[in-house]
Amino acid sequence: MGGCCDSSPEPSLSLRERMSLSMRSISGRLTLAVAIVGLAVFVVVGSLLQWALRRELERMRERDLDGRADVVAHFLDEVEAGDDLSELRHHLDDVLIGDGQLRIWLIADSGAVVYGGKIRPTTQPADTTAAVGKLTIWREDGVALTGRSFRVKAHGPVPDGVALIGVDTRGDQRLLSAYLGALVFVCGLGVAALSALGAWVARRELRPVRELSMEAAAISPRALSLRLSSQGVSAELEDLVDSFNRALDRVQSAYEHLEAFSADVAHELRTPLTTMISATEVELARERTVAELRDTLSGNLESLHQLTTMVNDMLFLARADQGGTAQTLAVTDLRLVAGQVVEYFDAVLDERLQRVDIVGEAQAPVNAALVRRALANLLSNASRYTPAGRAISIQLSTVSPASTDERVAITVVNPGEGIDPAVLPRLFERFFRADTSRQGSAEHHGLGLAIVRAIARMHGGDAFATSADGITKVGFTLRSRETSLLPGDGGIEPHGDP
Amino acid sequence: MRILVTEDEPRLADYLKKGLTEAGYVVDVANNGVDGSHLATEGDYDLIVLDVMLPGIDGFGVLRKLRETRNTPVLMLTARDKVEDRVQGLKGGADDYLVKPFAFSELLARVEALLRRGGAVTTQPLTSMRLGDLELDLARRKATRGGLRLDLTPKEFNLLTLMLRRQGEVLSRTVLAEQVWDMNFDSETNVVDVAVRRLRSKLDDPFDQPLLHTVRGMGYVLEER
Repeated sequence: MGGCCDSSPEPSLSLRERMSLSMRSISGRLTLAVAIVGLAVFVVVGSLLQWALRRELERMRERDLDGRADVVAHFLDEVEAGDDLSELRHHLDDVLIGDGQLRIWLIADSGAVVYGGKIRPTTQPADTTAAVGKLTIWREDGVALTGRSFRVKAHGPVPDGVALIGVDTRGDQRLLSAYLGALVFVCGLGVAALSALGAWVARRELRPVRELSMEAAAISPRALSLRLSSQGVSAELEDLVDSFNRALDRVQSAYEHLEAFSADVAHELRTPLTTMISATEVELARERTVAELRDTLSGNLESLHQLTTMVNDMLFLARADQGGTAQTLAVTDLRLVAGQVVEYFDAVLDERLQRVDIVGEAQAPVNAALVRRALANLLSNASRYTPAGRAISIQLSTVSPASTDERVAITVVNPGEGIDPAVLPRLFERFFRADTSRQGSAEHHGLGLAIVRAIARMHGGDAFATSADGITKVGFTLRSRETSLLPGDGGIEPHGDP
Repeated sequence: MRILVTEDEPRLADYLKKGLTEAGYVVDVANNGVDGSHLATEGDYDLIVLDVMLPGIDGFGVLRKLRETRNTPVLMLTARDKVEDRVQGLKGGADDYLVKPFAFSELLARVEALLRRGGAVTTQPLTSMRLGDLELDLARRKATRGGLRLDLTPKEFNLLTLMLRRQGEVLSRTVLAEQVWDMNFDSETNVVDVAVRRLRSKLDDPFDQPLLHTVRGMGYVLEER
């Protein structure tokens, strides 16, 4: 049952499929192109040679005929009154000796054949009255001869008439066709050799591509540092290899960043999770009073709130990373925003005997809630590192770098120990903490400055930081004019519900 | 007041039921979209707490079906807080939207707000409030305790007003930051704690009986104990 049909799939490709496959390969196309060009060149050159040979043979034949005609005319001229025609015939016979291809006729106007045969041969043109003419003569056996004719004046025994000289040119034709045959053979051989050479060169030149492809296949997340080697690669491929390697650099950096980020997240989660697990286990191991249990639950709740904050912040950053832009922008007086943030920190600043001055004016189309958040993060940091009794300042300014549009900058300037210039570039990375002692790390999960940068980017700006001579300036820029933003997708509202 | 909780995560559903029951509501739980949809349309509830991601019919589907016949207030819960989701939920007829993870206190506050809205209780604008010997004159922005004037900054006065208005209710740092300072994000800083501590130093320290209490892990509450 079921054996009725040939179940094996067609093993070999049809010719058409194979053709289309080889047409898709560069070496196939190159080989075909070489073959076509070679064939065209050989055909043109061969035709020219054939034509030149034919011409040269014809010219030789013409000269030969002219020479024979001259000889015949000379013998005719030498015939004198009273001479015998047999003398002339003898001379003409001499001319013909050793040349079986040649024929001579002497025909009187009366139609009588004086020399050359029994009957007058057919000629084309039939009219032979011209002084000298080229014509075709048909021999008795029907073979066409290339011929000459010239008029003969009556003198002595020679009557008025015409002399016909014909040569059998079939030998030339044979020579030409033999030559053509040889030419076709040589051309065919040439085209075949050229195609083979083309195919070989194409394959040889494309070998680096196959090798690169093999190298590329070896690159994987586990061997992400591998690169294609540009050693001995032709100039055209070198650009490709360089571009590919640069793309790999970016992928590797992003990948490593992501891996580090995942590890960071795991580490950050570890501490609160451990705390909660241990606390819960310890409490459950014995009978506890309600107060003790309440205390543990409250502690767990605190840890959970921290985790929640961190997860929310990470989601916020993730969405900003995906190119989210700030929504519901409104032109806002940033001095007012700064004032609100300072008011929020009033109690803390008061306790630490710190003061905040707001310097300058600026307006920008912003999502005020997001800017408040960014500025709050900056001010929180600044306050933490400012010695008691010193003043922090929030500087608002408009900057117009030549390269980009006008930007508004919000800078928080604080005195203090300063930040090591070596770590400044990493300041805005997630989970980066300049103080490795991680003082108060339970409270600060290290996403604050990353969020500042994300908010700046959502407003078409960026974050920046400098630190020198005990003065630290950390701030961010914002686009100062509204540009058309794509509505809807990817929009980020400030955290919390509207 | 009857509330239907439609939530497929059993532990969360149990705790929501427990919490809401203790807050004085009668609570039914549906663990999937089909049951939820049936109960919501057939039962007589004052409010429905509806998870978006549900087996059977998803939250949006349940909402759509419910809105064909009923106008019960709906509070949607979701783990996804993309703007489009929120818009879809609100357009579909949800009355409010809460993003996981949320604190139970926040859920309770939203539930109460929605039920108040439904009841259309118009409260007279208060001109003064009191708790024990604490008295707040809202018109003149004056706070006195035991006849003594409290010297409060404007923000401290606002903070006290909020806590007095919602006396007995635990208010989280997030809620306080949002309501008093308009800072609507989870703050890493202890700003609210410091502000509350300073308020307490003026409000409670000079007196025997404290009114402002810390509820560890949750926030602060103003009440007589």
